[in-house]
Amino acid sequence: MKRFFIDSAVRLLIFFLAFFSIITIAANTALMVFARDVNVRLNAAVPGYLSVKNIFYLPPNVLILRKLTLAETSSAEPAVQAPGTVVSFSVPAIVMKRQILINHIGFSRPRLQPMPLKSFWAVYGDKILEYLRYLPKNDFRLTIRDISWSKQPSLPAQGPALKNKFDLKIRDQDLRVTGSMSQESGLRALIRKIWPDPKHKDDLLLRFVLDGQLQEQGFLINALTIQRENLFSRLWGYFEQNRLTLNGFTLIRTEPAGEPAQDSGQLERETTAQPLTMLQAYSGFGIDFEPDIFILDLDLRARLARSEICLERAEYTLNNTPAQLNGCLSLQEPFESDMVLTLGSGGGRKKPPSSQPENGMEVVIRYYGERQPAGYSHNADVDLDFARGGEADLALEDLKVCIKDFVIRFTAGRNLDFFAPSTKIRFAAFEEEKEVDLKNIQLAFIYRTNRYKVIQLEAPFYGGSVFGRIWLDKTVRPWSLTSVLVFKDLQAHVLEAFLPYFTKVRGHLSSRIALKNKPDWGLKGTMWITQGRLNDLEFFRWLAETFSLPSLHRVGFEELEMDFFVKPRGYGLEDIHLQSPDVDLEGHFHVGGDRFVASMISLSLSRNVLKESPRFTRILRMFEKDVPSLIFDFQLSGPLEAMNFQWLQSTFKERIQQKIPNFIERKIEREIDAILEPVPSTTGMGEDALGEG
Amino acid sequence: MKKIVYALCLIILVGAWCSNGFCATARQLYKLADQRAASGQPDFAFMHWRNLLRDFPQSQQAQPALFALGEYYYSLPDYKQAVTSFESYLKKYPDSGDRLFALAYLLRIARLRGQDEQVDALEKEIIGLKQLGLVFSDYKEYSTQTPLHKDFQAVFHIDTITFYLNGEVFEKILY
Repeated sequence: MKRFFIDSAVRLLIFFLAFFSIITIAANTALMVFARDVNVRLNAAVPGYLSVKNIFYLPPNVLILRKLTLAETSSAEPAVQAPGTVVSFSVPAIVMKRQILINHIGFSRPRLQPMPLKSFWAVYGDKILEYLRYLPKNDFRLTIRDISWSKQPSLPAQGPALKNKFDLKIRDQDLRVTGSMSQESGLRALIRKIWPDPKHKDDLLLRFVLDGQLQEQGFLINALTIQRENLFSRLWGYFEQNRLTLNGFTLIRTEPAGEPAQDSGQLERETTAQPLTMLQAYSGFGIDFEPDIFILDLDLRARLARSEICLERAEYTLNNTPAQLNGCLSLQEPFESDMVLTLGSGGGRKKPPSSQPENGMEVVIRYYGERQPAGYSHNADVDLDFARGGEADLALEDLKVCIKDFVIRFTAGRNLDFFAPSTKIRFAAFEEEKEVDLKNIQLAFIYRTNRYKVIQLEAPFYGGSVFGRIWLDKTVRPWSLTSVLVFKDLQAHVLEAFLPYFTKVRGHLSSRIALKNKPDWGLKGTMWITQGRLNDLEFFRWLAETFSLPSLHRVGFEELEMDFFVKPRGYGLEDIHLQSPDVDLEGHFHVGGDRFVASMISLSLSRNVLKESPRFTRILRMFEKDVPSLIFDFQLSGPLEAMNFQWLQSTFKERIQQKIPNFIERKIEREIDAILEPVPSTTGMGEDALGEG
Repeated sequence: MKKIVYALCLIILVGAWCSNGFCATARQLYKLADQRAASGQPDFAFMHWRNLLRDFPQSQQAQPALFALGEYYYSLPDYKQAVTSFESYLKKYPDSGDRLFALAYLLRIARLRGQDEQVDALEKEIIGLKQLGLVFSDYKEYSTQTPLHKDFQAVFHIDTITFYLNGEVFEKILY
């Protein structure tokens, strides 16, 4: 009896083996014989040109496709080439429903060619999307392993190999999509293969996990997690009829990996408690870095089409600064893109309690680009709207930067290199619109640092050059800015855009300027001008007109050196040293926020200049000819438009006073008064018994 | 006889009425007020100035009378009325030589009332009134005698203006 059953089981086994073998051989033979027909049928069913070199059947439900090629046409360059593809289908569906339901497609080491793929997508994108939309909603899995992107043969192989995986699963309407991309050098990968290390984590470039549910017109996104080495993003929302709605947050660390984290206590003290609390709250998600960029309260609505991606609304806070992003990115020729990022008081709908109120700064960055015959053209308009600070009309009110055809390159050491052949800077200051043209700006943004992010600038500038460095301190919110600009040998009058007095200055100028934004905006610096000329400078014009000294309208000089400053509440010149054959000047000149002047000036005028004035001719006679120049010490004060002046006491003045009678002094005073007070006063109460001391 | 007595009484009454300024010209009213002010009777002087402004608002004497009203109210002190009078004075006589002193009174009142913005604005206006050119002198002085017979002086240095009222510092502006 026992033997009978054993014999039956063996017979049954042999029968099934034989049956499967026959089926397998028959099916594989048929597939080999009818390979051409299969390709024709596949081409009819799938958009584009699809070719499979061999198809093998593996019972009960697996097909192995060898050398699968997808292209726009049979003669076109392949867009996708897969050496081995596994397709499994549902046997019950074939038997019961006479329907082929594919429930798994697995690509292994597919090779993608960017340009043909782009071209393929441009032609068949719509059809593919339509095709996918009407596929039966059965359980399905798509896996792709080790995608490789074809490079041009001329380009050298860069860095270690990429390992990537993609897995899409649909089961009972539940959707799970996972993907990752990591990097490992060939040698290290070989060592790991021989001695596997469970503690070792691959150099993660990107990992994402999407958990969702299929809906009638799209799918719900319960959680979309995107991770990089220094990035963690958790998003949720839904996708319906080409519209994507997402909420969530993103944490980024810009500091280099392995650097000691910033003192968290300091972070807590200097910022709101919110970021640290957030970090503690999300540490359970496996975030193993301490972020320094917090994108929170994201509220995004986007329209995704084959031809373009449009952000209709993306509002969030960037390190507690409200921000808004809008715009479109074209996915087909000429690949136009137009995005606007608004940062600051006006950006974004949401304003956290700790954000800067209306007195903060608003930055609007518009990026737009398109493919041109010479290559892709990147352009940007940056609009900085400064809040008015102080009483003076000195603060920058609005700054617009228009950058054409810039190039951005990521580099290992400097992090980000930027080159702009043409940049226009327009701004309003001193109640006037100004414009500055800059050519060939080279800029480096060094952001993989701990506390200070550094921007370095080099450019030719109006016949000379400018070199600048900006330090952004991220431990202060909003970030504080300190910068140094060094100008070398440029034409002085071009600085008129920054300080109006420079319209009247000519010469070769070199300068060092420091600019900061905390606690208030402030600019200070030193400058040297050589071989120059002052044309109708207010002070000299006043002297020229008041004392009939016409040569002071244009004062040529060998060297002019001074310190200067611009603050929200005033501007001025300090330590002025002017040396010229006929005029020497030393002193300071400050203008306050209320446009009131405080100034002390020591002026030395040569005999040549003084001879021009009849008044001074008489004075000159009092002095021997061996006195080459007379020195006048002045104090200036009062409103800028109508300054008071006083000739300060000095031995020179005493000498003159000794030599002229009092009535002459009074006569001179009256003459000066007549010049300064052109409008005579009318009747009063019988006053104006004018006296002088 | 009776008629003569009535006539004399009438003359005396009219004379008394007129002596109090009820039938005088603007010039006479101002003179009466000035006499009262000089004799230390500012209240009676005020009545005459007020009458002058009511009956002869366009007269030459109306200008100092309006200033006098402001000065009188300031001395009470009734700052609200004083400000109204001085502001009216400045508006009606923008080119007056005493504009400087009316502004000084307004500045003093604003400072006493703690109106900082007003103080700033008035200081700027006073500073802007005179542009100084001090070649041999160290200061310039402007003075007046007010309707209330007070000596008002303004001494302008290069960066300071000091007002003196009867020899005492009344206001000081530094800039």
